[in-house]
Amino acid sequence: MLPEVILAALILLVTFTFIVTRQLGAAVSTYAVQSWLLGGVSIALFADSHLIQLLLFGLLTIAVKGIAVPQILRRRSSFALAGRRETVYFVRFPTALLIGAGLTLIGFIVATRIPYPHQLLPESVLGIALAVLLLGLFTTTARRDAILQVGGLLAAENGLLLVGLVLAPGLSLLIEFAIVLDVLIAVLVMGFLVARMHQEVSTTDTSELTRLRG
Amino acid sequence: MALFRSHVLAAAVGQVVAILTVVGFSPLLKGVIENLKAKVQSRQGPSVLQPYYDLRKLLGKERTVTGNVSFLFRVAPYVVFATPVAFAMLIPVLTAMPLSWALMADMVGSGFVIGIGGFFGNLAAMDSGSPYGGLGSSRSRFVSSLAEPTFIVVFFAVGFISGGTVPFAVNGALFTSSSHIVPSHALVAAAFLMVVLAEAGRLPLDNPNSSQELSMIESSRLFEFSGPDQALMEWGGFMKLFVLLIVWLNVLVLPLGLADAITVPALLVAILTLSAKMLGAAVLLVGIESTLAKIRILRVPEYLGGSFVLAFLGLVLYTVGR
Repeated sequence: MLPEVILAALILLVTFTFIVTRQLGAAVSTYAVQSWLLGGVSIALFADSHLIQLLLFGLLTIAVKGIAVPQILRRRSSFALAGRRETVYFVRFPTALLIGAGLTLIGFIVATRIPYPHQLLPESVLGIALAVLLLGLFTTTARRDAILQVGGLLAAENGLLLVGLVLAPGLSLLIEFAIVLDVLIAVLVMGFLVARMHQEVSTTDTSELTRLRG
Repeated sequence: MALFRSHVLAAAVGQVVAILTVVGFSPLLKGVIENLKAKVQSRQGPSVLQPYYDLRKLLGKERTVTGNVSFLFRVAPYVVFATPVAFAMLIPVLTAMPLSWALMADMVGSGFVIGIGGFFGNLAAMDSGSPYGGLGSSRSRFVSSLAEPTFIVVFFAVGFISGGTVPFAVNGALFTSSSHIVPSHALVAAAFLMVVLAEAGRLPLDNPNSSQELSMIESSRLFEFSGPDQALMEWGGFMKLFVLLIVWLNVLVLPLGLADAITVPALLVAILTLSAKMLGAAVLLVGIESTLAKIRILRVPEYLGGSFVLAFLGLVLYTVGR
C-alpha cells in the first residue's frame, strides 16, 4: 500500500510544479511526469491486487498520456515555444499558488466527507486525487495560454482517473480503454484548435481574444 | 557504573566519528558535484579531490587582512567553520540513537546554531568595507529571512507529526506511522529541500560557479578573505551544505542504514550508506543545477513563498486527514 501512497504524494507535488511553471515546454514535461506517476500507481496497485486490468491500464496510461500526448502537445505548440517561452496567469503567481493551496485543502476536506469504501487505496489518496482534479481545473481557467489550458484539462483528467482508481479500482478495461483513447482524440482536436487560433491571431494567449469578428 | 562510563565513552567516540565524517567528507561532496556537473556539460571536469587540494593550498598561504577591520573579521572564519561542526553533533549523522551531546538543542536550537555562522559571515563581509561584501551580505540576509518561515513551519509540521522536535527523536516517526502522513511528509520534504538549496547558496537562487560579482550572493562575501581564513570560510560552506543535506536525507527522506550501536562495523556501514545517499543527493543537485536557470533576485520571494506554501500545506493536510 505504501508505494502507491508515495507515488500519489509525488503526483500532488508534480501538480504543484505544473501550476507554478512559467515555461510552456517545462509544463508539458511536468504533465508527462504526472502521467508516468499515475501509471506507476496503477501498476503498483496491480502488484498488490493482481487485477490484470490495472496493469494494462497503467501501461496504457504511460504509453498514451506519458509519451504520445506530450509529444503531440510539443509538436502543436512548437510555434508558440519558439516565439515566447514564458506564460502568465490572469492572477499573479503567488496568488495562484495560494489559491492552489486552498483548493488542495478543499480537496482533502471533501475527501473526508465522501462515504469511503475501504478499497485498495487509503483515504489520503482520495484527497490527493480530488486536489489534483481541482488544481487542473484551476489551471484551465486561470492560465492565459491556450496550450496550458489544454494541459490543465489533461492534468485534471489525470486527477479524475486517480479518483477512479481509489473508488473503483479495476473498472472494466473497456471503459478505461475508451477514456484513454478519448484523451488522445481530444488532444488532437484541441491541438488543432490551438494551431488554428495561432494561425488567425498569431498568438496562443487567450487574453487577446476580446473582439468578435464577423 | 563501569558500564555507564563505557557507554559515555562509546557515545563520545560515536560523536567524534560523526564530526570527522562531516569535516572530512564535505569537500568530497563539493568535488563530486563539480565533477558530475562538468561531465553533464561534456567537459572532463576537475578531479573529485580538487577541493582538498584547494584547501591545502589556501591553508599553506599567509594571511592577509586589510588594516581597517575589527576583530570580527578575524573571528568570523572560525565561527563559520565551527557552527556546522556544532550542528553535526545535534543531528543523526551516523547513529540512529541520540548521542550524549545531541540533546543540547532541538531543531529550532540547531537552526539558531547554523544561523550564527551566516550572521558572522555577513558581519565580517560588511566589516571589510568592500562594496561586494555588503551586497552579498544584504542579499544573503534577504534570502535567509525569507527562508526562515519555511524552516519554522517545517519544524512545526515535523514536530506535530512525530510529537517531538529533537532531530533524533523525529527520525523514525515519519516512517513508522500510518499512510495518511505520506502526503504531508512529501510536501514537507520538498519544501525543506527548496530552503536547503536557498540556504546553501545553490542554483535556483545563487550560482556557486558564477564569476560575475554583481550576480553573486554567497561567494561575494568571501572576497576579502585570504589564505587560511578563506580556507575556513569555504570549508564551512561545504560543511553547511553537507549537514543540511544530512538533515534532509537522514531525517526527512531516507533514515535507513544508520548505526544502532557504536561498533566499528556498524559505523563503517553507516558511513558507507551515508556516502551512497550523498552520491544520490549529488546526482539530484547536479540534475537541478543543470536544468534550472538562476532565478532573478526579485523572484526569490516567489520561490521561497512557494516552499512556505508547501510546508504549510503539509502541516494542514496532516490535521485534515486525521
